[in-house]
This record gives sequence, C-alpha cells and structure tokens, in this order.
Amino acid sequence: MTLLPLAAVSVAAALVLLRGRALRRWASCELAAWLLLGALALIARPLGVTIEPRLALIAFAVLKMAMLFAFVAFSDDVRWSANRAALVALLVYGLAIGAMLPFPIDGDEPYYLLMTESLVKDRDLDLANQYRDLAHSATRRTDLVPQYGDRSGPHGESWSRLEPFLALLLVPGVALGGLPGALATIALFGALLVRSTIRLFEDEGISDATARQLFPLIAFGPPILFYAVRIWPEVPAAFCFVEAVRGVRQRRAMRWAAALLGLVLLKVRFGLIAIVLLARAWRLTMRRALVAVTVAVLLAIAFAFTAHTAAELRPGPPYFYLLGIAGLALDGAAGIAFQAPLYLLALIALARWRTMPAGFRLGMSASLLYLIYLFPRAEWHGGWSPPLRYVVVFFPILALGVAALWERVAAGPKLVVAAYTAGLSIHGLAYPYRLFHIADGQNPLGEWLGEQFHGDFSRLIPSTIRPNLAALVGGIVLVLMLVLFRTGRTFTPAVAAVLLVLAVRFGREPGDRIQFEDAFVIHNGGELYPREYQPQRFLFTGGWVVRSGDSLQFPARRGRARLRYQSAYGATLQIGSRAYVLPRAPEYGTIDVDIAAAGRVELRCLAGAANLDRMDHE
Amino acid sequence: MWRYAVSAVLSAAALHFVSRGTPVDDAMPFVGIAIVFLAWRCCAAIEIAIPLLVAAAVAFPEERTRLLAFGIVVAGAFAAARPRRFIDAAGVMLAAVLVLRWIPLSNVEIVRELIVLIGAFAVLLARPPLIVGAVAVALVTPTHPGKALLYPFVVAAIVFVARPLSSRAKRGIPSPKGIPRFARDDTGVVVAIALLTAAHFARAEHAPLFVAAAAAVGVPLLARWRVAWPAYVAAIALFVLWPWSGVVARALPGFLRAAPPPANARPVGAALAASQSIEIAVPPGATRAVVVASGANVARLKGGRVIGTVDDLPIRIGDVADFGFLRREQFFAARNPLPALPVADVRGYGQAAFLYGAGRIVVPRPPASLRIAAAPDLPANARLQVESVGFE
Repeated sequence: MTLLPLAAVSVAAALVLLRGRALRRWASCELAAWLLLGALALIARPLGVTIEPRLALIAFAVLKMAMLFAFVAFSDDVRWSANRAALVALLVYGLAIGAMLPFPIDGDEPYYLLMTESLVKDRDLDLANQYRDLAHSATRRTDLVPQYGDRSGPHGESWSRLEPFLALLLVPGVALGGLPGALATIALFGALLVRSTIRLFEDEGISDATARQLFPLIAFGPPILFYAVRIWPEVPAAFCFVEAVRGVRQRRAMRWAAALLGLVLLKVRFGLIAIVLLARAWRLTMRRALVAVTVAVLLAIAFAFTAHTAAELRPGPPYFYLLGIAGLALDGAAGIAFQAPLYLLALIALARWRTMPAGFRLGMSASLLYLIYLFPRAEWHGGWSPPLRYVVVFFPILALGVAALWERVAAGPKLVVAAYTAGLSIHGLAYPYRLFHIADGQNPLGEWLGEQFHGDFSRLIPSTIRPNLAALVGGIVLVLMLVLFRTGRTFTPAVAAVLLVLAVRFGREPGDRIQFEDAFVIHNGGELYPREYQPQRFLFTGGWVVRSGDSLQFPARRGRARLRYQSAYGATLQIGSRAYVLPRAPEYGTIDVDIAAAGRVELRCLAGAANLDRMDHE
Repeated sequence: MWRYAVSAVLSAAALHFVSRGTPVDDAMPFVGIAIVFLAWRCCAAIEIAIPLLVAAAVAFPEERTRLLAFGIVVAGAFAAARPRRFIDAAGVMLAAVLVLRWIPLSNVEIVRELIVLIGAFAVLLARPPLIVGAVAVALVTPTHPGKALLYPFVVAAIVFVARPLSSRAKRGIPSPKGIPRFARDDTGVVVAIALLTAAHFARAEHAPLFVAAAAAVGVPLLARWRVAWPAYVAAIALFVLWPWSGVVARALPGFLRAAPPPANARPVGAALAASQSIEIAVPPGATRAVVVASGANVARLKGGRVIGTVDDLPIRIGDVADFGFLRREQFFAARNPLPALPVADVRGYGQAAFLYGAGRIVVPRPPASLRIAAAPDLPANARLQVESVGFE
C-alpha cells in the first residue's frame, strides 16, 4: 500500500458518502491527518523512534478511514444508500488487495487459482500440467503439491477436491489480470455482499443511522474483510446466502433459487443451509416448490461428484459438540470473541430470539443443520485459513442481529468493540500471514505477549483446540452474559483497561501447566512436534522434542509437578540441580519432578531424546 | 458524575499497575484522570484512550516508542475534546497545562506553577473560548527568573487589547467612533505580525515567548476567518510531544534538525580546559570525520565565539552549545543558539526534558590524526567537551 492510492480512495469515498458541511469538515480533518503524519515522521527521527513503515502506514490508513466513517455515521450531511456503501467497499477492498499482494496466497487459495488457470489455459480441470509448470503460475507458489483428498486419473491426471464453481467465477478476472484479477473478482463479490447486507437491513427495518454506524465495522472488520480480499468461496457464498434469505422473505422464487444454487455450487457443504431454506420456501406456493425440487436434484448431482461422503453427516460425541460451540464463540485463535468481537452482540441477539427481525430468525434457523454438522468436526475452526472460515457465510445475518440490538447497547461496549475491531484490521492487513494459525491451542495475542514477557498468556485466553480452564470460565461468563446482558453500560473503557491490566499481571505469573511447545518457553535447541505445517496438525498432541544438549527455560511454580512425555528409548533430563531418568515410553508416560523454587526454570536434556508434551503443577 | 468518578479511579489504578518506571509512566495515572475529565466534560468517546494507553504501556517495551505512543493517544484525546461552555474550555485548558507543565511532579514549584496557571486563565479570559493560545503561553512561560512569571499576564493584556472591536461590540462594549475599519477589525493581525517579527529578531531564548504570544493573538483571528485548522494541527502535532514538553517549549524548531551521531562513533569523553588538546587517530581510508562536542559552563557566551578547534577548523558557539543550556533552569538566561547540526539526544522527561547541547562538526578529508584543542581564551571554569568521534 502506498500513499497515493490511499489518498485517492479516501477522497473518492468521501465524495461518494458525504456532502455539504460534513464534506468540508472531513476535508479539513483529512488534511490535518496528512499533516500530522508528516509531523510524526519528522518527530520520530530526532527522538530515535523506529516504527515498522508497513505497520505505521496501515495503522494510519485504517485510522483515517475510521475518521471518514465516523463522519458518515454521525453527520447529517451524508449521501447514503446500499449502492454507495458497496462502491466505497469496493474502493477500500481494492486498497486492501494492494496490501495483501506482497504476501503469497495460502491455504486453498492457490488451488482455486490453479484450477482457474487450468480453465483459462487448458479449458479443463486437470491440474497435472499446472503442478509441472508452477514457475509460470500466477500463484507464485512453486511448492504446491496435490492436496489430501484430491483425485487422480489413470493417465496421471490430477483433479482438485475443491468445487470448481469458484474457479469458474474467477475466469474473467484471472484472464484479464492474473492474481490481482482473481482478488478483484472476490472483492467485487465483497462489495455485492455489502450492498445486499445493507439492503437486508433496510428490508428488516433497521434505521439508516444504525446501518451507517455498523457499515464500516461489518464491511472492513474481520472476518468479512479478510475473506473479501483473498481467494476463498466464503464471501461469494455469504452474498448468495443473504440474497437467498432476502428472496425467501420477499417471496421472490427466482432470486432465492438462483442464490441457493450458487451457494451450493460454491461449496457442497452449504447444501445443508439450502435444505432448511428450501423447507421454509416450500410453504409458500407449489410453483416455488417445483423450483425447489429442481434445485434439490441439482444439489444431489453436485454432491455425488464431491469428495464428501454421507458418513460425514453422522453425529459426533456430545463433548465434541461442546468444543465446537464453545470454540466458535470463544476460542482465542478461531472464535468470535477474540477474532470478530462485534458479533458477540449477535450471540446475545440469538438469546433474544423472539424480539429479533424475521430475516435474522430465518437466516439463523437455516444455519442450524449446517452448524450441527460443523460443531463436532475436528476442523470446526477452519483449518489452515483466516479465522472463522466455516461460519463466514452467516456473518451478514449475524450482523442483522447486531444491528437489531445496536441502539440498546451503551457507548462503552461499542467503543471497545470498535477499537478492537480496528486493531484486528490493522494487524491482519499489516501481517496477512498471521491470519493463518497452526491450531496448536495458542493464539496470536497470547503468543506475542508470551514472547514479550516470557509468561504463559495463552492460558488466559480460551482455547477449545487444546481445551483449557479459560475456556470453561469463558463459557460460563458467556452464558451469564447471554442471560444478563441489557445495555452493557457497566462495561466502560476504564473497566476494559482494568481487565487488560489484570490479564497482564496474572499472565506474568507462572501457570499450573507448561505446554513445552508454547511461545513463552525459551527453546535452546530441539524441534516442534509435529512439524509446523503438518496437515491437520490439530489432530496431534503437540510437544517439543529435545535431544542431548537441548534446553528449555520457562517460568514455573515451586513444588511437585508431573511431566508428560513420549520417548522411544528413554532420556535423562536435568531440572534445576536434579537429574531425572525418563523410562522408555513409546506411548505417552509421566514422571514426577520437583521444582525447587518458583520462577524461571531450566530443563536440560542430558542424554537420549524425548517429546515433551506438558508439565502439570500438582 | 459518579460513573466518571469510578472511571477515573479505575483508569488511575490501571495505568499505575502498568507503569514501567519513567517519570512519564509514573505520571500516567494523573494523565488518565485528565482524560476521564475530558470524557466527562466534552465527549464520552474520549474514554477509549484509557485502554489504548494501557495497551501502549504493555505493547511497547522500548521507552521512546512507548512514550511517543502515549503522546499520540493523549494528543488524540485532547484533539477530540470539543468544549461546549466556557467552564468546559477552562477545564480542558487546565488539563492541558497540567499535562504539559506538571510532569515530572517532583520538579514542580507549586507557587510558581499556580501563577502560570492563573496567567493562562487570564489569556483564556481575554479571548474566550479558544484554548490554544492560552496553552501555548503556559507552555513557554519560564519560572525563573521570577519576573518572567509576568509574561502570561502581559500576553493576556495584549490579547485583550488586540481583539477585534466588532467582537467587543457583540459583548456590549461600545466601539469608539472614527477608528478606521482596518484598525477596528484587524488590529490583532498587526500585533501578531509584529510579535512574529520580534521573534525572528529576538535571541533564541526569547523567541518562543514571542511566538506563543503571536499564537494567542493570532489563532482567534484565524478561527474568525475559518482557517484555524492548520494552527490546530500544529498544536496537536506539538502536543504529541508532551512526554518531552520541555523540548517543545525550548528547542523547536531546531530539534527537528537533530540527528543521531554516526553509527560507528567512538566515545571520547574528554573535557578540555583552555589550551588543552587531545589527539585522535584517524582510521585509514576515512573520508569524513564527525566530531560530536559540547560546552560546559559556556551558556553565557554568544553565538560565533570560538571555543576550540579541530585541526584548523574553528569550533564556535553555534556549532556547539553548552550541554545544558536548554534546561528549564538555565534557558532564559542563556545566550547560546542551538547548534547548527544538533545531536538527537533528548534527556529528561516532561517539562524537565531538554535537548543536550552537543553539535556535530564535520571534518572533510581528515588527516592521519585529529587534534582537538580548547581555545586559549576560554573562561577559567569553561570546558570544551569532546563526546565522540565517528568516521565514514
């Protein structure tokens, strides 16, 4: 991202959304912001302050856009409509694409692009020749190999397990502009999604003032922002879903039928949403029912050609449901509370079901079957993708719930949520690669604090990927909040500050459990287990492998602790001044150790090798 | 009221517990209370600055970065404060002056600072409700010598006299007949220009007083013409530096020219009395030497006075300055100008912060060794301090 496009987008967005006095006042503030940036650049040098230019620029861009949207939200002189909002969203997404482009695309993204390239160049979906010639691919990824679950043909053909519809949609964009063209296509869907969401708000009686306040938080906050400028089917699917809900609500069969078809073609798993919506539409008229049957037949045909099997629909154990539900709500790396906090209000809206708009109830009821299928899956968090991947499709409907509740919410929670959302946007745009997490039970915030203070902060942030006590406490707090929340007026920014301070102070104290692979542990040698980019890493028990000479340092409590490890041939460890012989334990075993004094402890491997899982204080 | 009282206590407690030990960090509870006050009187949204300050305190272990982050957040809070009544404007001004002048608290001379506060109120009263001028005047007012404390009251009188007569008419004060329109409406312009002209010709130590007075007179006029925003931007940009407000008050704009010494500079640490000298070997291949030097007990010497030499190159007051002449206690009585190539070396915090008076002397094509000597006519207690030498 450079300064000129930023200035151009700011001015264009202001001209689209503001007028009269608000426009003049914004212009003054805009000039002031640029002058302040210049002044800060001048000041930083003699003070000897060095700030990462990319982070500084993106922070400036986000704050400046926030200033513009504050004018849009609170001024009377605005030009507001769904189309204008969509146009501004497209402009901003264009800017965000510029910020994303220096970093390679990841997860399923390069595979979608590879399929599109195959369609454009070979007019087929056989990726074998694409894999052979990655040097000339717009993916800029020469390390790609077929994914787990891909199908291969008798003559060396290779077909991706991913649905080809998104690749088909990307064809014009890729043909015209390669990777930027593909991203622009998704951004176009992002803009359409913004338009549909605002129209949904209008349909459901949400006031313009509320829509204007929420527009930037929804369109330019996580998770929509991060999926609108990357190659995933989630944003086009969200657009289709909103249009389907609007179609059913307005009893426009062609609209919902086309939208549902698009939704399911993008990802067959979305068929579970379509089934419920079709059931709702069934009640309308027989003619529409016929359309529904046609769509259902098409869906069945599409399902038959995917990598999915009917066995996947079998219910999982109840505990897995609990993990999935709590995780999507609270998990630090992949849950709403930490990755898209605005939508906590949507969870509260769910608890006030009867008072919510009909569109919200329709949309969320349509999600039920899909969620029941998603919750118990080990990959509920989305796997190798930006957070909340599997539920992004519902976020426009959740936004409707937020909007319905918005005017009742006190200023304090709104401010905290807005500031946190801005922070997440800055972080995600400045470091797009950090949107992908290896799902080891930590989270970016906890890891960063852990590295700063060498304390276990991740234990304070709920995780159901590696279930911890914070998840239990967070779950109880969430349930209480769902029941007791009225306006949130007691949650002032000062209270948020105190909570932050308490977390920092508590996090610096040694915890009851040391996970040896965590970021707060100082690793002098050894290696992560399993390897960092192990596919479906979350299915493994994480650990840190030490061999003779390797050592670890970590804060621990005084007293007896139990060390859990795995060792094929046994090992000898030294903790403090004592040595412990770890018997052979091909499966996991434990050994009791003594920590002589609270504080920083060094664990050194004297002989052998062991995969250290964790140490629990007794 | 009670809600904000609780917020103030919580903010102070939160900021106290994340303090990292510098005087500015220690003063953050006090700043937190000031911000909650702004939120109470001006705009509730300002309170979001509290968690941002806590986050900055946690996120930035490096001192300068952290203090600059504090500066940005607090300046943002003050920028967002839009007082609706005079009493609110007075409150905002009070908070701003306290933040700018009362940190570090241990250095505050209560009686003198109270007089400065009263003076700032006088400036505000002379041309309400714009606080920029009053804050600028308070920021630069010296507390030593005692008679300098009259400065804000003099400025208040000038502001009162120079305000447009038409605004007096609005307040029911009859406008004298026979006065030309220029004099009736634009007296302030003339006065502001005169003050800025005086600032240009005055010695460096007095220039800030004239500039602040010009701001007090001129900003209301700019506001009247609806072009005050550049002044506000400048005020906010300067307010960002409140953790080093002493530098803003006494070392601008020369401070912006300051640059760090060369990366490979070797410390020398020699204090040369009159006629004393040292030799420094020059590494082979060096194309340029940068000598970082300052003076000690030379604050009363005027610009241009030679206090030493590097080989044949004279070192003058103006190339270097007394190391502490920008300190609050010495500045008003000093005669040194800021070095032409100042070294970025800020010492102290808040109003006690000052730019170290060292300057960089560039020696092109240095010989095999550099001979640095103090002038023979240097006063008895004066010293030429050679801080470091770097080669490129």
